[in-house]
Amino acid sequence: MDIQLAQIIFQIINFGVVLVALTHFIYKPVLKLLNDRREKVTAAAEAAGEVMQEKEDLERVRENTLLKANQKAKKMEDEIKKEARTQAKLLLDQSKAELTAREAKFSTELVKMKKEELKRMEKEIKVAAVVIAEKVLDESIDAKKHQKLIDQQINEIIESL
Amino acid sequence: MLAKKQTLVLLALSIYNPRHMSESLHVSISAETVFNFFGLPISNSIFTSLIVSFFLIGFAIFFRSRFKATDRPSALQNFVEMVVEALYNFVYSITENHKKSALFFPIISTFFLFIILNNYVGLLPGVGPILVEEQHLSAANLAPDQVMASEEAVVGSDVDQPLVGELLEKAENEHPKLVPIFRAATADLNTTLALAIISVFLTQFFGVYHLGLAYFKKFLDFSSPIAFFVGILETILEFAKVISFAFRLFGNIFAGEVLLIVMTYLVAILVPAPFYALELFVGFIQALVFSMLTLIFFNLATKGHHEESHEVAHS
Repeated sequence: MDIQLAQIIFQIINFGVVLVALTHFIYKPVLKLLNDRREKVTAAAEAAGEVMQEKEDLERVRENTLLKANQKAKKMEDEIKKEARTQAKLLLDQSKAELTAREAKFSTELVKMKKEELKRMEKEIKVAAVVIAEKVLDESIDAKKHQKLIDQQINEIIESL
Repeated sequence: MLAKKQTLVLLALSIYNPRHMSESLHVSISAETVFNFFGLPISNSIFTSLIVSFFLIGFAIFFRSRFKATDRPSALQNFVEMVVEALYNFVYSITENHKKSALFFPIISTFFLFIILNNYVGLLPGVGPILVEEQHLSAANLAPDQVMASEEAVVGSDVDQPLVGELLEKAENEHPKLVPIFRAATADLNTTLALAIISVFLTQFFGVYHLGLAYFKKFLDFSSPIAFFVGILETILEFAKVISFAFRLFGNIFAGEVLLIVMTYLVAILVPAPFYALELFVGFIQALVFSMLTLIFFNLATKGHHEESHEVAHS
């Protein structure tokens, strides 16, 4: 083993030159690129995080809005149902009242019509009785025939009614 | 007459020289000089590490020319980004501080890449078997007094042991031995020492950079005799770190290469394969260990002595 100072110095210089060359041509540009890329990725990740946060916020707002809308809709539904029930009851009451009024009116009219009809029947019966009496007087018939005549007249009167 | 006698001695030596036995099994603990560059001897390990450095620098320039700041990188850019990110995360896992990580990362990464590539280069086919003549002073370049002395030794006596030694040396000088042109740089102690010195020097630098002169308090603490003694131990430790770093890496890689050479020499087919796999693993682990220890020392140096002791006690 012979240690030579000249060779050692030569190798130190050689290593130094390689170090400078590699640093200048490879390490610096590649490290800069890697740093830029890392920063870009970090910025993108941060932006993505912000977007995610924004999305979560929007999601929360949407859920809140939806919840409120549902509550409002439910309230409106309840109010509408209540209103409908009130209206229905009101309508029912009105209908009942109207029906009752109509019934009363109809009954009154019926009674009136009945009275008029009875009056008319009475008048016709009177006329018929007069006619029957005339016929009975004109034709002396037996009781059986008499009865038959009366029934026939009554039937005519009823049919005429 | 003299020339004839000398030739006979050299012939006999060349036949019985035990070094010839190892020619097919070339193992040298030191790196050999393969050529001279403007007077500077370039060893095979330096030559190989230069190739690795050129490859790394060339790749870096090529990568930079293709680099695009985009979110859809090419396969190459994707791979480099993956490696850089993994190394940065490794540094950050120790420091847990982005500022420190950014400071330490280039050095630690370069240590890792430089060491692992140099480790793996030693496993490539052709690194070892391709031989060239070793460059050193030839007989023609011997000093005149050395030549005279050898001639006198031959003339003045019979063929004895000192003469054999000198003639052998001369013969080697005249017939340069063949040495591998490539050798893994981390299998040379000079390289590992250089890396260890860088590591320990930068540890002190970062310590002073972060703590100022208070960093030296751990070496010179006069608060108590025990603290003073601990300071001396800390100082020795810093030097021991250099030796530890250098010899651990050198020992593991050189031993691995020797193991592969021996296994290949014994059984050339199939048997060395598991050892190659083992050396791939060892190469990775050694690069990781060197980088991790350096990082841990950097990190500890940037913390206060009290904080450091507390952390060591916790660990």
